[in-house]
Amino acid sequence: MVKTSRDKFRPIPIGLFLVVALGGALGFSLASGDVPISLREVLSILATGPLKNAASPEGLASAVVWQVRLPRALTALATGAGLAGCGVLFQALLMNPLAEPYTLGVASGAAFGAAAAISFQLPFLTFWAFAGSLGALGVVLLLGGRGALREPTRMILAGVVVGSILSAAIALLKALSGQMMAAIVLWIMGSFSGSDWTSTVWCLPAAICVAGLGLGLHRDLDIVSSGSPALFLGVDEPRLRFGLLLASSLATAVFVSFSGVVGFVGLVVPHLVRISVGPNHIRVLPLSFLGGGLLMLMADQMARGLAELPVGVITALIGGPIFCLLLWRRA
Amino acid sequence: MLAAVGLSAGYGDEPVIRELSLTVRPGEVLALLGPNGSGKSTLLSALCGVVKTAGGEVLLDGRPLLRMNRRSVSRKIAYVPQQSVFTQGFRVEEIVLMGRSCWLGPFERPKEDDLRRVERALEAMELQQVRGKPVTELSGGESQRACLARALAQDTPICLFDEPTASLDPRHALLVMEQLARLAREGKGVVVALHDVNLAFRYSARMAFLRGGRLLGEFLPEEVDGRILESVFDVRWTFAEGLAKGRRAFPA
Repeated sequence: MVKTSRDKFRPIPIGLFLVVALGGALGFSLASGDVPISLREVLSILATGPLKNAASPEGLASAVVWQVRLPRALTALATGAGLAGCGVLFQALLMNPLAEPYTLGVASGAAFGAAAAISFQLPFLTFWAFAGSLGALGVVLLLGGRGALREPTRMILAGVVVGSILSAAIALLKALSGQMMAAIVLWIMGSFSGSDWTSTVWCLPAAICVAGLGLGLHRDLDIVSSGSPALFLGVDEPRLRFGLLLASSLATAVFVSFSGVVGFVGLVVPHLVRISVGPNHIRVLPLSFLGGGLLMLMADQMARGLAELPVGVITALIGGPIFCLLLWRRA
Repeated sequence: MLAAVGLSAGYGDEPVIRELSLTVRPGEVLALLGPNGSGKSTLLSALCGVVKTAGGEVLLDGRPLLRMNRRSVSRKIAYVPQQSVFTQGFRVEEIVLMGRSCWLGPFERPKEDDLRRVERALEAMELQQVRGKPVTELSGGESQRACLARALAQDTPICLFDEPTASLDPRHALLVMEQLARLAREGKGVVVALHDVNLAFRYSARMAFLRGGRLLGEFLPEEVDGRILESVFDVRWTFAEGLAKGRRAFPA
């Protein structure tokens, strides 16, 4: 058999490494913080379940783990995994390496919704962000029309146009909002500081749905992304594209509404994985999930240690150099 | 059996092929010939049900093709387009295995039988040496053979090929045509669009001529003479006569 560059990297060892690293990052995330708790204590707290009496030292540690750190870590993990998974689906379905979960205007819509809610001091910020995402997605799909499902470029263009208009609208809101401008900027750059069990309960199933759909349809994704004539190989391409783009945009809308626009993960993690193990989606999807979750968990951990720096800045700072290194090694 | 009945089809408002009737019979190679733009590729795409029909219909085993779902159609009809542009570096064997995907369920792994068919297809197209190579690194001819192998692995009763020998050297062009003839001997219905009249003479059981989107006629290879070829291609032909399958025609 002809040896190719990706034969050097095997998916199973990479997967095992990512699982172990993810476990370690999760443990570290639960143990470290303003209230230091040892890993042994964390395990015992998780085993005993949440305590009702928070006045005792054990109760305090339990409350910190169960009510603050665990939902935050799980939300970060689900968001990272989900965004990376959505990135894989977008790049495959739109046959464009620059596609990401925000390509169809979902992030701009969420940012606009949130910016409007902050500017006008509306309650339920997450709701407005979600509504903004869905509104933007709806407009993109309407603009693209039926033909867009056969012609991905049209859909991408519609996303770019809607995103540009919304970006201008967000800039206008920022200019008019005075003191609220900082809050808008910080929300848009993304953070998990406000995560609780509500965000976990939304983000985790959204990520699992993306994973299930992607894995169930991995062969169809292979066919579409390879450039093969999908219709002749039994794949109803427009239907697949519509269904999966809608599902992953809805999932992205959930992630963005709770955590803001965390960039980089959905764009770069799928590329990193593809460089390592090739384009086959049965390998790319699970590894992207693990990689995205790990990157986001590590980025959030750093954000916590750096006075809640926007997590999007950190994902780019960690992922960027790794990506450059892999590109350089590949070249 | 696959049949086009009074079929008009195309991409824009004007149909490319008009009121065309044609039957693909099991166990024979049907060659489609005609000048550029005569509608050969459109006819092949329409026979797969992926081009908008403006009139008439395509029947697959007596049922309208457009009412069948894509998976069912691709279990009956394999199609190899004129050109394939691969956008991702899937290995050759992964591309060939894609031919089996219409036979597999969402979470089903390829079975022993699927892998055996992939092996046979790789062997038939002489791709064993490059089976692990990314398709994006193949030559044009190797890419074409990978697409043909994918169609062989699909193992359908009807196989449609659009100029399968266009980017192949003479030896591989003959190899491909021999494989098409083998498919017909196995009882499959094969339709192949060709520009090489002599390959059609040698390997087809019937020759259908298209011009301006209309079917000019169907002939047995031994019935085709210079007058027919001239009316199709607008150029005079000379024949080197011999046995029917050994006949050669050259544009004068």
